Amino acid sequence: MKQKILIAFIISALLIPFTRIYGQQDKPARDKFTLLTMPYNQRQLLLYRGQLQVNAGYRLAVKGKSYDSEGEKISLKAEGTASIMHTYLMELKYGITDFIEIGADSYFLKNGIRSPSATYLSGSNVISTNSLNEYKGMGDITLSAALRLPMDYKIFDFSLRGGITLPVAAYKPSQPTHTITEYTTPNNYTVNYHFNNNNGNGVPLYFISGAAKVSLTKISLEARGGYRFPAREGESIRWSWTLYGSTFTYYSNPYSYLPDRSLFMNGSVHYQAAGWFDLFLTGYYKNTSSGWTEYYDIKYANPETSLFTLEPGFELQISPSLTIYQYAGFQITGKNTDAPFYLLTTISFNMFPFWK
Amino acid sequence: MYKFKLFWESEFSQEVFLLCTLVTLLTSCEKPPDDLKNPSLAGKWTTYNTATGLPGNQVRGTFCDSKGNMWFAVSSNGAAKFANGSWTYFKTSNSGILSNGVTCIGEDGSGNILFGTTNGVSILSTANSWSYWRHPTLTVNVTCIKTDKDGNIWLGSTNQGFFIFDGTGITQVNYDPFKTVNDIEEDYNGNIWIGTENGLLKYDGSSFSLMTTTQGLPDNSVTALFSDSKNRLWIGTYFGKTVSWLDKQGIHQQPLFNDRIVEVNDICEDAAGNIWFATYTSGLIRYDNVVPYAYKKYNGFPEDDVLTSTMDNDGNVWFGLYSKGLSRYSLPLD
Repeated sequence: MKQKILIAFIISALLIPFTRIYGQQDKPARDKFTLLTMPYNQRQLLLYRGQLQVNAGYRLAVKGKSYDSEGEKISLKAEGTASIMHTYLMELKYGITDFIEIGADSYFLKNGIRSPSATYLSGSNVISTNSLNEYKGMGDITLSAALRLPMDYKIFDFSLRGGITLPVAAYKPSQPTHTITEYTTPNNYTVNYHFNNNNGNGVPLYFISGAAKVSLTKISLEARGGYRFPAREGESIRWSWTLYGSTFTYYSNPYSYLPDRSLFMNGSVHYQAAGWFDLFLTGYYKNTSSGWTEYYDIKYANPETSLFTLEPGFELQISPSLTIYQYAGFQITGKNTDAPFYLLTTISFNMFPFWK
Repeated sequence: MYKFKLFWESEFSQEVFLLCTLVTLLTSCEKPPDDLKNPSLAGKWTTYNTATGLPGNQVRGTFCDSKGNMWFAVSSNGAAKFANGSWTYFKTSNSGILSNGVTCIGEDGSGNILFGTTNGVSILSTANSWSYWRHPTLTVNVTCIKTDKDGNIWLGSTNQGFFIFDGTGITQVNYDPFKTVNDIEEDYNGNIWIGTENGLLKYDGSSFSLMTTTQGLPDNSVTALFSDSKNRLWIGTYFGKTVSWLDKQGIHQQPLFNDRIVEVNDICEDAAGNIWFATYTSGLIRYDNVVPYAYKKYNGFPEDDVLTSTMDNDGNVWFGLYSKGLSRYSLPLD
C-alpha cells in the first residue's frame, strides 16, 4: 500500500514542471445565461465553473421478470413474486472550474416483495405461510470528483470521474416482525413472515469512470464506462427465530461478505431536435462479479450477473434553471439478475449562485 | 498582464491530484479469496448407495469427526468414510475393524474413531492402527456412543444398560427397567441425558433422576436426543404424538403431525438452525422452528424410513436410510 501511494506521489511530482505554464492561462468572461441554456450537443461533459446543479429523480421499476443462470427469462409474475420498486434519487454537483466538478448523491429505496402463500398439510395440519420481504431506507452517500480535458468543448470531450461510496446508511437487516394469525390449534395457524431489510452496503466502495463525447452538428455520441469495487470485507447479520405458541423469539447470527465488483458501459446516440429538446437512445451493460457471501461458515462466490438494457429518453429544457430528463429501461438480455422495466424522471435545477 | 500562479493554485494541479488519488484507490481494492465455493452446489440432494460404491444400503449411523470427515455405519457391511470428496470403506476383509456389524460411530477426546458394533467397540487410532474393547463375559450390542466435554465415553447398549469410560476404568450401569439405552446426549449445562426404553435419565454429575410421561414426555420409549445451538434438548420417542424439547422454562411439545404417532430414530440440526427428524414410516421431517415439512416418497424422497442424520462441516446434512443408502442435502443459500 505504501508503495502505491509513493508511486502516485512520484507521478504528481513529475508533472509539476508542466503545471506552471498551464496555470498562467486565464479564461474569458462568460455569460451565465448562455451557459445555462447550452443545448446538449454544445455542452461539455462536466459543469462550468461556479455552476451548481441539484437533481431530484424518481425511478419506478416494475420487477416482473428475471434472468436465470442460463440467461433464460423467468416470469416473476407467474411465480407470484413480482413487485414495484420506488427509488428517490438526490444529487448535488458543483463545478469548481470548467474542468473539475465535485458531487454527492444518495437515494431512498422502497421495495416490498410478497411471496405467494403456501399451505403445508401433514396429517390434519393446516399451516399457511405468507411472506413479505421489505427493503426500505436511505442508501449510502457517494462523493465524487471529476476532471475533463483542459480545453473548451467544440467537438470532442473526455472526462474521468472517481469517488467513494461511504457506508453511512443502515445496512444490517432489522429484526423481522413475523406474526401468527388464525391460530386455532398448535398445528393450525397462519404464519406471516415479514423481513425488514435496509439499503446500505456496509463497506466503502470506490469507483472510477470515464466518459467521452463527440458532437457532429445535431447528432452527438457519448460513451461511458466505469468500475466499482469494495474497499474491504464487511460483516452483517442474518436473523433466525423460533416459535412457541404464537410468540417468536429472534436470534441474530453474524456473517461476512465482500460486495461484488461491478463494471458498467454505456453508449448513447443523441439527436438535438431543438435547442431545448434532445432525444437519445442508450445501450447500457452492467456486469458484477468477484464478490462472496458467507453461509454456514463457508464462503460462497456470488453468482456473476450481467444485464443489457436499452434506454430511450429525452432531455427537455423548461427554463434556464430547470431541465427535465426522462428515460425508460427495457431489459434485452441478462444472467442471474432481476430484469425490471423502469421509468426514470429527473428534474434538474441549475444555477450560478456565486455570480453577481 | 498575467499573474503568476503557484502550482497548487492552478487548475491542472488539482486535476493531477485527483488523478493520483484515483490511481491509488484503484490499486488498493480488496481481492476475493481463491477457495470460494460454487453456489450452484447449494440446495441439491445427492444419493449414495451400492450402485455408487457404498458397501450396503442400510445406514444405521452417521458421524462427523473433529476433522470434518464423515463416517457411516453401514449395518452388516462395515463402515465408510467420506473425506475430501472420496470414499474409504472398512470391513473385516480389508481392515482391522472388529466386526462388519457396525451400529454407530463416535470419537474420543484424542481424535480416535470409535465404531460401535454388535459386540464391542472397534477403535481406529489417529495413527491408523486398530484396537478394540469387548466385555469379557457379555455380548454388548452398542447402540450409541457419546464423548462428553470431560472426555468420558458413554456407551449405550441393548439389554446391558450403559457403560462409562473415564480414562482409567469402565463402569457399567445396568438396572431394570433401563437396560436398553437408545441414545445419550450432553446438554449445554453438562448434564448427561440417557434415553431408555422406559424413560429419560438425567445425570447431573452426582446423581440420576428420571423423567417419564408423568413429567411431560410424550412417551417413555426415548429413542433420540439432541442438544441444539439454542440450548434446547430435543427428545424423540417411538410412540409419542409429539416431539419435545427441554429448556430453562421446562418441557415443551411440538406436534409434527396432528394425532399421529411419530417414531423418531434420530435428530440433528443444520447450520441454518433447522431441526431434522429421521423417522420410521413418516420420512424425514424438517422443522424450521415454525413449520414442520415432511420429505417422503410421495414428494421425491427415496423412502419413508430414515434411521439417522448428521450435519457435516460443509453445510450438508446426511441421512442414513433403511434400505436406500445415504441421502445428502446441501443447504440452500436463502
